[in-house]
Amino acid sequence: MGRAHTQPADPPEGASTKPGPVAFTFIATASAAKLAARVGGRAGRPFEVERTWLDTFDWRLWNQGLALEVDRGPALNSATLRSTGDHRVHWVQRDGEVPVCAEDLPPGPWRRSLAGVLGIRALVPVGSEQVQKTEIVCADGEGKTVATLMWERVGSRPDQGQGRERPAPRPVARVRLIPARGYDRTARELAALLVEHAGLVPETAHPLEQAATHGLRPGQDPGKLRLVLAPGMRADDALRHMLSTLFAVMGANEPWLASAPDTEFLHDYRVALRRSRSVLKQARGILPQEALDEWRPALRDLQVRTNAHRDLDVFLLEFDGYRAAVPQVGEGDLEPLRNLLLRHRRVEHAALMSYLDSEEHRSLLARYRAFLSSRAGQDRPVSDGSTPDETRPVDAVAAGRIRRAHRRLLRSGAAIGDASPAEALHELRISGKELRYLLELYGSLYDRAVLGGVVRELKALQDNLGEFQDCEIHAQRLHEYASELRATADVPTSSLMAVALVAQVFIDRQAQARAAFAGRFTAFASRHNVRLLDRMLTKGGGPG
Amino acid sequence: MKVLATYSIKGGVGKTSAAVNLAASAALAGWNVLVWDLDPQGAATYLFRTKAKVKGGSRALVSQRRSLLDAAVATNVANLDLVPADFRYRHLDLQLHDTKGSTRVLAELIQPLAGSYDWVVLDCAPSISLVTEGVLEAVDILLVPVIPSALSVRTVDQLLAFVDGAHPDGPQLRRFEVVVFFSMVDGRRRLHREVLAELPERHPGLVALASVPMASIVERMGVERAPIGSFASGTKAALAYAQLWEELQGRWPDP
Ligand SMILES: Nc1ncnc2c1ncn2[C@@H]1O[C@H](COP(=O)(O)OP(=O)(O)O)[C@@H](O)[C@H]1O
Ligand SMILES: [Mg+2]
Repeated sequence: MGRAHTQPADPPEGASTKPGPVAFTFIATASAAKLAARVGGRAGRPFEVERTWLDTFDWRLWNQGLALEVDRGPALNSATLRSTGDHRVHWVQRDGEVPVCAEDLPPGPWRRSLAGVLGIRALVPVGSEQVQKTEIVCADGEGKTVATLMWERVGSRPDQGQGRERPAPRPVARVRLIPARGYDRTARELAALLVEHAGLVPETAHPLEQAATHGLRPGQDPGKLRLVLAPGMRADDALRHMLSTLFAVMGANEPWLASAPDTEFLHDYRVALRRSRSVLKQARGILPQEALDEWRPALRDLQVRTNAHRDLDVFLLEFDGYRAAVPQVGEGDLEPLRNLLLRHRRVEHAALMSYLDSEEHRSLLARYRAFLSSRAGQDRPVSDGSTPDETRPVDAVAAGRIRRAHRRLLRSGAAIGDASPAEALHELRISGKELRYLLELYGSLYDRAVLGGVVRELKALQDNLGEFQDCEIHAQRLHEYASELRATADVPTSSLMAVALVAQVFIDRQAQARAAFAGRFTAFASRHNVRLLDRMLTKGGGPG
Repeated sequence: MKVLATYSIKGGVGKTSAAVNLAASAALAGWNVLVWDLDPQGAATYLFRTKAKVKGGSRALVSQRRSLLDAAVATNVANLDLVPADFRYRHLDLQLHDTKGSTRVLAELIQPLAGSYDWVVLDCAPSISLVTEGVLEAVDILLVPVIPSALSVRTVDQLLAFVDGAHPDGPQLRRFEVVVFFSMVDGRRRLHREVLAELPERHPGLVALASVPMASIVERMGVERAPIGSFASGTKAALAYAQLWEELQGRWPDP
């Protein structure tokens, strides 16, 4: 099943409300005491905190210009929502519980500023640092704070900088100047004083860029494919590079599958797996046959192990949609179904986890990793004869494969009529997926604008086919679940009826999708669109 | 955004103490809170260690040449800003008199704050005036401190008659809720205990469950110049204000 039909995140309602005045951050060599003396402020006692930044795994807060900072120390717990650009403080909350999912957000500042941003993703720790803080308060004659300087000495944590270049040396101390509303002039004067007379240097990078954990980089969705191929690259190098990139995406998501803060870790894991299979399927003549014979079935098996889990995830994500679709059904009538789904998911989750934890899986990963890093003429003997295309330039190979997949899709699509069985549409969807993956994998070789147009039409077709198939699976599963519920003693008839009604909704939706198919396909197969693809393949053009 | 005003016809009943402490509780919970000190005496402004002065005075506000957001300054409490009192507010009444649609002016000044604050707390001067009428047009919650006494019941009846009288459409159409709480309660006095039992019976749903005890620590706010939570957080009085806030938060969870 495809990605759940969930709405994209709304713009962050309230996230832009009353940001405080612009704050400044500096790098300092001066001690807190010196600094306090310089600005005529009062330095408090230094205290240690463990700082964690929370965001979704795909950086939804960061991409909205927000950073959520949680400080935990013996004397203090606080959560602060700031703008990443100008460090303005949106709100500070002390001693509160830190929620994880949009549905857990308590009414209050969390929900107001975060619910619309999180969508289906959960908050997870994305960065951390150990900080020794000293608060320097600048007050007026009434004892009223007009600005606060937070002097922070940052210690690094062992799990940082994994899998990328060595982090730059850390600043001696970070100083945050937090102005008070209504005292902007004081703050500007103070900022100038700090630069001119206390030798502070404005900090240009956001602290999270240094403090990101789990190999994450601020703003970069680890589930998203970032693949750049150079035209003229050897085909076998290109394919290994694709597979390694996809393997890295799987690797980034796999550690999260056990705790599963949200459903998208598994989803992104599966997409990378599916794309890898697609690469392997297209690799005949380029990668050694014996490797393909090993890895194609192995990755397929792995994928199959995740199928039921993902189906249940989608069911549960869409559950509220079911209720909306059958308003005639009574409150609570669908609860037995939900509980059944949750029960099944628990079982599937446990099964998947015990497999991922197994020696069998670990050794599979190790062998696959070794395969990806081997290269002709280096770690293995020169071509065994199964790879005549291994040194051909990747762009030549790509064009041929894309053309072939495109032709197949056009041919099978044209053969579909009103009387064709559902299987024909399922087959077509698979061909479409094949083409889609090829376009994504080799996309960096082509003109981005043209590629975008081609993918858009294809996506419209795929959405239609996906809806058709998803509805069928839903309806079919619901019938299975209904019989399972019937066998359960205490499930009332009203619940069974409700499940049947929901199943009918999907049957109707499937019929609608079927009716819309011809139009979608005609648009996709239009002469204009076919030419577009042709031109793209002949011209190439790079990431433009 | 919800607008709450502490209000009473009488002075010295605990309006300012409640406004300051409840606002601090809301801010502690992470809400963005603005206190507007409408009393020219400026007790709340003093407690927040701020100079009583609004640039351009109340006239600039009333004529809407200046927005409340411009007039707001931070306090020592995180998430809590203040529009300070201004001695010139004593002319506010006259200025409103000269302004067309005068009673709507306060509501119109407050309305644009909706994108910036979750709670706006108005600390009113004890009076019945055009300012009061303006407040009644602007609030969602009118919070009334009542000191238990033989006259409490009468005081509350009068108050209800007044706020409903100010609304020709009658109490059903009143767009704000009235919440009464007992202030300066002396649990050792029988009379106090009796009134505490009687009033809620007479006006079900009107009286808050939490009541604020008579406690010298509340007076100490004038020395510390801070909300009670920031210097005496564990005390009975501090807990009482916190409970009162919890009650309000429970009734209006999504301001
Ligand atoms: N619960 C209380 N216990 C003791 N003193 C109190 C209490 N509440 C208020 N006070 C004191 O009574 C005086 C008037 O209180 P205040 O809150 O300013 O009332 P108002 O705003 O109604 O005039 C202040 O000195 C204040 O410190
Ligand atoms: Mg007062």
